[in-house]
Amino acid sequence: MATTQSAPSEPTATARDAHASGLVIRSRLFELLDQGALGTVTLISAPPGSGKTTLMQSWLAARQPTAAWVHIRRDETDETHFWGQVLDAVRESGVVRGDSGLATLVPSPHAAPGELLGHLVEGFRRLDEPLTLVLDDVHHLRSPEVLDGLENLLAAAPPTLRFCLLTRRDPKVGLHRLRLSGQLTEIRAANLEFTGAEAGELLEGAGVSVAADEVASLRERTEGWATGLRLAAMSLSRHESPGQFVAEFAGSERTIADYLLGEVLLRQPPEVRDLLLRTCILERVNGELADLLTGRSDGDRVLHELAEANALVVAGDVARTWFRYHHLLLDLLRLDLRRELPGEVDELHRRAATWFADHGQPVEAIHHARLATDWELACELLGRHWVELLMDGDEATLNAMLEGIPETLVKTDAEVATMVAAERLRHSRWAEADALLTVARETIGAVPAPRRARAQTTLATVQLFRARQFGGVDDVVDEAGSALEEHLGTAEQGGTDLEGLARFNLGIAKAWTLRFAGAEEDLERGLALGRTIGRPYVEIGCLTGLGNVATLTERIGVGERHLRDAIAVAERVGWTTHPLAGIAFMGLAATLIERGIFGEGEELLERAVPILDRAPEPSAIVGMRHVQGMLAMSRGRYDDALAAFRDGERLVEVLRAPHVLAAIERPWQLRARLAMGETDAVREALTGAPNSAEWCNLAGRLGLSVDDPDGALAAVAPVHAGEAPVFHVNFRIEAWLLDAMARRALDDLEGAERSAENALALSEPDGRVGMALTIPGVRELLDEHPTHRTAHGAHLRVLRDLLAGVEPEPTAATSTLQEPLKERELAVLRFLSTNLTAAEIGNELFLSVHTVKTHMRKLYAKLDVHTRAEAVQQGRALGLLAPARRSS
Amino acid sequence: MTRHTGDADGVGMKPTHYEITVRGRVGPSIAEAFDGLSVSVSPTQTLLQGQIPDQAALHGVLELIESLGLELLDVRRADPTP
Repeated sequence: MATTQSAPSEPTATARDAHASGLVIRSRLFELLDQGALGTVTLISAPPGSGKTTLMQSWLAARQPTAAWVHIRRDETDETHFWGQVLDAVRESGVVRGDSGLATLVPSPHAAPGELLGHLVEGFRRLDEPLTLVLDDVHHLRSPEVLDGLENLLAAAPPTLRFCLLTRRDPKVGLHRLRLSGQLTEIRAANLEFTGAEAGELLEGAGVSVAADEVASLRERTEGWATGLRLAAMSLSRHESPGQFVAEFAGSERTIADYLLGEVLLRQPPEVRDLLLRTCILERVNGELADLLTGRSDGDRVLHELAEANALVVAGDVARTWFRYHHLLLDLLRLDLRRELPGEVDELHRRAATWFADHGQPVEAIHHARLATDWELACELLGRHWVELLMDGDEATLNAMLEGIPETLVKTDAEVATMVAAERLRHSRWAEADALLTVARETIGAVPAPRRARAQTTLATVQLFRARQFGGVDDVVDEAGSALEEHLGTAEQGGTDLEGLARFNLGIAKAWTLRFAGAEEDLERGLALGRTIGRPYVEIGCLTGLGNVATLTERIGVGERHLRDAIAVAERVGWTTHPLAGIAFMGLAATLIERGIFGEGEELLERAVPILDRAPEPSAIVGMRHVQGMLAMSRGRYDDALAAFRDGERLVEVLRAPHVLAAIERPWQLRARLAMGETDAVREALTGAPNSAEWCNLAGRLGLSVDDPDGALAAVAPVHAGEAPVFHVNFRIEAWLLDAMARRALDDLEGAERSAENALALSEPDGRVGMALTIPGVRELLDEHPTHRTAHGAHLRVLRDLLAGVEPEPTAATSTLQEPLKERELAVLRFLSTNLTAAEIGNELFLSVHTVKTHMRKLYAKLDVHTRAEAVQQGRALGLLAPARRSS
Repeated sequence: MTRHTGDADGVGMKPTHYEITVRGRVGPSIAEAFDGLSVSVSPTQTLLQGQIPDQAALHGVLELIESLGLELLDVRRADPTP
């Protein structure tokens, strides 16, 4: 419907065109529509066949405003699908500029309901030119959420946007309030009734000449009902004695539709009637499809002729390739079809299903396969398109299709069972889902060969999805992983939505079982695919997964970059309240809190909490509680920390499967309790504890808090010696800090300095401060650490500031240098912020003064600076050095 | 698959006998659309009657009447007991 503003002379020409095609220019209604343009909403509410669509189309053709037309499908329950259609139509109208938020928005069923609407209102506010948005068949909207959203949009619409609602019944969208505020123009059944003059014009336009009193009689009999008059005109145009027809019709007590349709159909040539009969199974038809169903080749011509006669068939699009039947005709024809050609109905539906499948219309294809009761075809189509339907937001439609499949098939066809199981999982009906997945595993071998490989991919993906929600289970991941390796390579599934979803789920499940290298490979492939096929779900999911894996594997800068990318995609498509965005916020919050950037970190955490609390992914909540616990620990709020770690552990138990954080939740609880003075409980818990770093260090903390520095030293020794398994570098840092504190208590100041330097060396590269801040008493150690001798002066200052309650400036974690600094150059750079000379730096690093100077020259060049002060400044700006807060 | 056996709140759960009157005489092909209802035609109106399973089915019939362009005159429950 995209049209541009026309030159002043054109409307007349368009009006003449409209007239020539049998349309009546209804000036009094055009005036109402013109007035309505001053307000926000025009409601055209009247029974079927009153001429609502025709009026709207002829007004648009005459006035040529920029318009977008949305034809709402029958029984629309998918909120996401509906808003997607609105967005598509608005974009097609050409009013959306490339830099507008509307250009990149993607509706998602899992973002918070208000988010999309907020973006829509914002986008509509920024439109440069007025837009008429026509919503046709509003009575088909069945979801209260959609109607609520529409009501809010109508209330918030800017003056540039004008809505025209075409409907059989007044929709519940706050019409009363619009009426009171003068924003509503109404055109109702009484307005739409044809006047005598209009009826005359209509008949004349159809090439029928009847006397004035006959026109009056027809108008009276049809009560000005548009369809009645049009049908009458059609009958008359083929009637040998118009006067007789009018008299008989006027005298008949039969219902108008019944009488006239009978008449009209009776007078159609046999080939037209045959075409109507065979194609009435469709909601919309084009020439090609008509030919397929009739076995002839005149479909396009017949449809165009019928559309020009303007009663039985209306063009469904501007290009006049698609046509819709008048619904009255449709109901009647379908009855006739069942009576006249009962044996052919299934075959007609089957042909239609195949055509729609071949032309990328899966919803219509599946609909017709079901009506043909061809379950093999229906299941094949569902299996091929279900991921696509899910990702398009057609979830309710998909569920309705799955509900229609016979119970016996659900129990015997593995692919169907898997799809139904996925639906149960999405609604947190775990037990039903598991029973169906068992059925699927048992019957997978019986799936017909052409779709077996795909069924196996589907089953593996859904099992991984389940594993992802509950933390990984090794054997499930193994089994599903090898099934996917085997089948994803096949040509049929390469590059599909199913492959994207499979890679994403496989990557996340591998990460949960600590197979990080494999996880990254799958997530990278999923990411590339998600970008190619334009699926934000896969893209955001894989980026978030990559970010969290990088953070866990101690590449905090890489992690931060991926997580920021994930959030940028979520913002672009309007998904910042989607569960995947929640996980990205949480992941980024964790890295920022780890680096002492509490302000932004806490802000992100506050955004993540409400999203993840309502998301049905228990494993994501475990991560969130852990971050909350770490934040509370480093702030000295030990009771809050304890509550968060406890909740995390409780959730881990619900998962029934290993969780990546499962092993460390309890030792963290005990750290909090120790800080609260519960030494006995900690001592008790340590009996029989594993020999891993998190437990060794807990024993170290206990030693320090009960004035047993020797015990503390002994406890953490296995961590330095590499005898205790270390989950994360933070536990090495912790061990060195505890070691230093113990030596200080034993008056071994030299040893304390050495251990503290080790801790600083491990924590400076990524700017890690999180662990240090959780250790009570670490402040004295770091405050007395000799500033003039340390190789990590900048990081030391950040830590001291944080312990004194001053937060560092946020910096990028990764450098943007063309050529990165070598390890030695970085070491020299760190000393440049001290007052040591080049020779003294050489002594510290066991290098000659000449070598130090060479490193300095090279690093100056790489940083593009000329002085030592500039190098330090640039190093800080790039995040290579921790930022300065005050001069030392 | 789940089958809905009725609304949980008990409204319109029992099949009920309804009489629906529309204006004008309905011809045989349209009468066929009202599968399961008996159709009796009088000079100026048509009476549709029969058992309708629940409220949803009743609304389905009313919608069909609307979409066939018929004018609805009256709908009444005709059960001996309420």
